[in-house]
Amino acid sequence: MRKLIILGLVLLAPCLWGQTLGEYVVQGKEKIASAVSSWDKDKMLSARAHFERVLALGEKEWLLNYYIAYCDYRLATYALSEEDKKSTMGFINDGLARLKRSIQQNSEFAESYALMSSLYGLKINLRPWAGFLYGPRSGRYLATALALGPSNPRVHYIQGMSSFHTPERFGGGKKKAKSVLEEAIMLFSSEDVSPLMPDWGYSEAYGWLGLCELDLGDTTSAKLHFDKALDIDPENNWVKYRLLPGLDSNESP
Amino acid sequence: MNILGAVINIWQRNGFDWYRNSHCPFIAIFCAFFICSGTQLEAQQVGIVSGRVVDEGGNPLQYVNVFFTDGIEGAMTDENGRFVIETLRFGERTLRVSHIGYEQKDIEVIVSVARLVDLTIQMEESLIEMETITISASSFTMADEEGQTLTSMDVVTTAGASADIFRAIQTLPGVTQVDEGAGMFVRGGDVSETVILLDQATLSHPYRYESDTGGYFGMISPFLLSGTYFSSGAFSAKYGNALSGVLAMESLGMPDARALQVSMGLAALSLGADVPVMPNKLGLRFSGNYSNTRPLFWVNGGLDRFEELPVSGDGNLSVIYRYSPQGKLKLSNYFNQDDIGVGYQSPEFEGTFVSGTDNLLSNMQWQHVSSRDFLLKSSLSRNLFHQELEVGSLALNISDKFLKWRTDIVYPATDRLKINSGFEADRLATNISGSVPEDENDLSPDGPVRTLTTDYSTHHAGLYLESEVNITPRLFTIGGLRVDYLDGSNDLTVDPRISLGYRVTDTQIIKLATGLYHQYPKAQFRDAEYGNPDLEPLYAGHYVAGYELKSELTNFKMELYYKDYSNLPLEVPEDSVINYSSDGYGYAYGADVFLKGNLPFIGGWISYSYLISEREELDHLRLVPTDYDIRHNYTAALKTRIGMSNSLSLTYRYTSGKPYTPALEKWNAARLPPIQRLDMSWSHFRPFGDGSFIVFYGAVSNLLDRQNIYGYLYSSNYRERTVLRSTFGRSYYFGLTAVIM
Repeated sequence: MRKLIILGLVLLAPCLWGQTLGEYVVQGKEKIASAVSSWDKDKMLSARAHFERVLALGEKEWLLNYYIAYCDYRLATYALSEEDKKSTMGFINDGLARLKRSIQQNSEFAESYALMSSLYGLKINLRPWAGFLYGPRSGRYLATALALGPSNPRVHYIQGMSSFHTPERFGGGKKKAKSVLEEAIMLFSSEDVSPLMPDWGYSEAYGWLGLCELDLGDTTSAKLHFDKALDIDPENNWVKYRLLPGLDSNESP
Repeated sequence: MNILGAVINIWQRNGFDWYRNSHCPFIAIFCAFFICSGTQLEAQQVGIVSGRVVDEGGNPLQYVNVFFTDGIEGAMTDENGRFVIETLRFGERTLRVSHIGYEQKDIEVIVSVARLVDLTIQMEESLIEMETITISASSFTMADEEGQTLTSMDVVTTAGASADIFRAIQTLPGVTQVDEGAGMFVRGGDVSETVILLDQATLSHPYRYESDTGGYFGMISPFLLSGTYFSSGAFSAKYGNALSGVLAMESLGMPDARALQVSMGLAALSLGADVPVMPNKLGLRFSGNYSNTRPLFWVNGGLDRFEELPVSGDGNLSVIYRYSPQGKLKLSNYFNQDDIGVGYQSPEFEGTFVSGTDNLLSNMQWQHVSSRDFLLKSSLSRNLFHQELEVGSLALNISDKFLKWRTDIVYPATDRLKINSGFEADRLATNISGSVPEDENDLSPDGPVRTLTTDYSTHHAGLYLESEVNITPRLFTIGGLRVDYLDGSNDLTVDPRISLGYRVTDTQIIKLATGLYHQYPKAQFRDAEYGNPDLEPLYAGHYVAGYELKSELTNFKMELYYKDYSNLPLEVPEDSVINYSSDGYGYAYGADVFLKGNLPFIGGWISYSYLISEREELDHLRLVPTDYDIRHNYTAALKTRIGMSNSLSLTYRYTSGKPYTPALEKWNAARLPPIQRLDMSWSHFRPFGDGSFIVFYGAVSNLLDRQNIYGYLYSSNYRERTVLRSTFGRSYYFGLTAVIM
């Protein structure tokens, strides 16, 4: 077996040495997409490790730090679902520190601010009593993201998720989330980004829109949105194994 | 052995079945390629780097990223902490070991052909996950954000601060409130010893209704600022020509959205707008404020005390142009004009103090971040100040022209090292003309006077270099050196400064800081006729030791400090020409304690300062307490939310009595009674439209209606005196601010 690996390395070496940063980024994005679809922590850790290695090459650091922070955000949600508070806080703090570095280098990239907002949102999830401290901060970062990227679908998507989790009396609610997510989906449908830039969120936006419909009592629309999510990403485990089965149990008498 | 040999070797070991069933054509092409090229490579044998990663207790760490920094070859550790990397690159290489929650490690390894490198790597838990800790000594903060002393919201919601930055800072430890004004007397230093900066420009006259103790308000509105940093001692080498403190403010940047702000209060009317002319490219901010205190005194009483009621106007116009994602230009103008005519009563003279002031600051700032992360900030500014004042025999016409060029460069060399450097060059031209009484206690119009004509200009240049280093995750330091030069007297000063911080646990830090500080004497002391052009720069040495306990909900800080002063201007009574020498000296020491807490719907802080400040300076011809030697300063500020829309704030202050001179040559031998004051403010927030809101507010100042005594005016023979009391007893203010998006 070892000889096979050696042979593979020998064969791949010229290709590896010749690879550009752009190719590494695209590879990393594919790893992230696969990890998101399969809701696989190990795959996401592998994607994060990949970007961390590419970062050491010293180019496009703001973008690479953004991707690592995005992995951190995903890993924090996995850790939170496993009630591993220490790991959750570790990923959140690392993500925030990386986004601050990223913003120092490129203060115009709206998605960095949007992701900051999401990470502070996760902090509130972890420590609800600190909501009064992190809530306004999360709101400020989201407002900056919206100002910098008024037609960025991921910024609207994050705003939609934020509205979903914010009570109506504090300016959120499912109705508002629904309209923001619809706007996000419209922007996703016409999005044309460079291969290096983030392009995540389209399928999941439908997932969250479906959840809004479900909460507002429209199961039929919810199912349509979940199906649409699977049309975009047929391997989306979250929709396939959690949202749709949940819908079936809701429908059953 | 060459590549072909290696391939044959693999075939021999694995048999022809493998060859036949899988990769025959591929390997054939591969072999042909190398045979044809005749290349002889040693790379058919890989170098292997393997090992085990453990924590400080020797336990294996899983998911650690181990990789070479010159490519993307790497591996993640398994549940036993083990990793194996096979590589075709040989020689000396850097292996990076990275894991969240642990300090990143770089290890130099020599990768050789067919040689196994086996490592055991021990990781140290990282205490600093969030961000690099800044260790500016003596920087207390009421803001949530790191690196900021206070936000605009902190200023406007602090009762008793009258929405004024300086007054809000007075609630922090280390700042002594000597009267009802906004003067920044910092840790036993005079008000002139704190430098005030705005976007790198120096505000040489930062107060409105300027007086000997500063002024009644600060010139810059908190609504124009994005951040404020204040240090009360042992500050960085970035800041020069300041003996006691530094207040550095940053104005707002590019407006995000179109907004109109309208404010109406009992004594003021203001209008402002943010206009993004080209989104993220070109923006405009302007504001204007007119203040007339007639309604305020009509409601609260006191109209009869003024010949001319305090009236002021100020305005701001800023244009921000972002020429690329890396750089922007900001052109700002701040203008202030105020007039006052207040009754003046001393045992020997009754009259009116009349003053009129114009103050204009123009600043052009350029910021650029280079592709190598250099941050360059450069500012060219001009501050024009003109004041005419008259009371009895004192009549002065003062004008200052201050030109300044400052450039700062920040270079984050590594994650652990940041280098700051910069320079500044400025020119101050001062013209003072008029008449002053021979005896400062006798202002009667027919009293003896001397004519004054001072026309004086100085050129100053300063240079600094500073490094911020995280030596270990626990130990961090800032060390810098500053050199300043003043022409005329050819004074060159060299000021080394250093701060050290040690993180005892992830919530506790111990800090030590020391440094030398110099400041040039005021222009009037260097006057050729009534001063001494050869006065030396004033000197202070700062020594600070501090402890900080910080969590998400509370922040406790305590600092002990000692400052020694020398080269202070001292009157030379015998000499009628040279009136000052540099023989003055003194010291100040004390303790500052600060406790800040944030709980849901309630927050606030308590600050306490203990101060001893003694100097032989000016007309105090032996070592005596200074005019601002106020031993105990205590402030408690409380802010609470009532529901989601209302907030209530209370601020209580107690200061022990300041010294005064009760008889000739008994300088500051007696003390005034202590001062107590309770202020309250309330605000109601009401959103409307899409992002617009209106805030209604009301304030009750001096709620307990105490008639505090702030000083005595003595006759020239000290046999009679007049008491100076609070301007207001209990008083009321209300208004509203609307922001329309």
